[in-house]
Amino acid sequence: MEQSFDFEQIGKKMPYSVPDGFFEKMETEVMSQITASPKGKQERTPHGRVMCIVKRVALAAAAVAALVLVLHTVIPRYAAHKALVDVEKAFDQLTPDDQAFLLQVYEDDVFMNE
Amino acid sequence: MAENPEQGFKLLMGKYGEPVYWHIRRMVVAHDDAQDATQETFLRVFRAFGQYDPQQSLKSWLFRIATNEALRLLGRRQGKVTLSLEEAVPDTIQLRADEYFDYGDKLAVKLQRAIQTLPLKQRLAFTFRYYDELSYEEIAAVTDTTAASAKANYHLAKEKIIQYMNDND
Repeated sequence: MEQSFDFEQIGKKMPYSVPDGFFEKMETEVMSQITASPKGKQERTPHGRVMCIVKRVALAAAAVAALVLVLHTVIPRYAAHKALVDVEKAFDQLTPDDQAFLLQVYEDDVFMNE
Repeated sequence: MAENPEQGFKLLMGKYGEPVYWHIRRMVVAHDDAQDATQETFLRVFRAFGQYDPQQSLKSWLFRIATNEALRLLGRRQGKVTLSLEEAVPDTIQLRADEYFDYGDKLAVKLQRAIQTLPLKQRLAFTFRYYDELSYEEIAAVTDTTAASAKANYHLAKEKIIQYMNDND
């Protein structure tokens, strides 16, 4: 009776081999090519490119908004602070009698002492 | 991979480096060629990872890129840009023997010779199923065919291999 070939006789055995440590070296080689080459950058999909533009526009808009916020908050405070300093300087130049008079006036001012 | 591409890619290579190499090696036979094609495969995978659709099988996607790379290499041997799955391939096992080929194991060598005699689609269906244990759906995704066709190609290949192993000494 003719004997038929059985795959079990070989299994997954192959006549091929590789040098020692080949797969580790290959991984290192590929990783170094990826990090070294400018081509190593991942390609962007059309969706990725659109998202990149959207992100840049959003970033620019956020920067402008932050600048406007700074102008509206910091500058008025600075102006108010400067005005107060000027008033204090002027007050210091008054005579003690005038200073006492002004303090008396401010103490009696119902709006300032609310 | 999206959060840390290099670290993710290292893990991917750690998992699929060997199967991809052996798949290419079975197609091109010579170690040096398989090494070049495997490295090129992973460089392409890294560059094109943004195009990978997570709905697809990652294994199928990787093997598809690897198969294309092997076909490009086989095509270059025939002076072409690449080789289509419909074309005949050169008898690679006789073309390229190198120091990383063990002629001592006669039965294993004979099986590889038998595989080399198959048309490309049958060869891929057989090796993907037999060595890589891909499902017919995964094989179909790699070879751009249907699962039923992949199954038919696998069984045809198996019959031809058995015949070759029985007939040739």
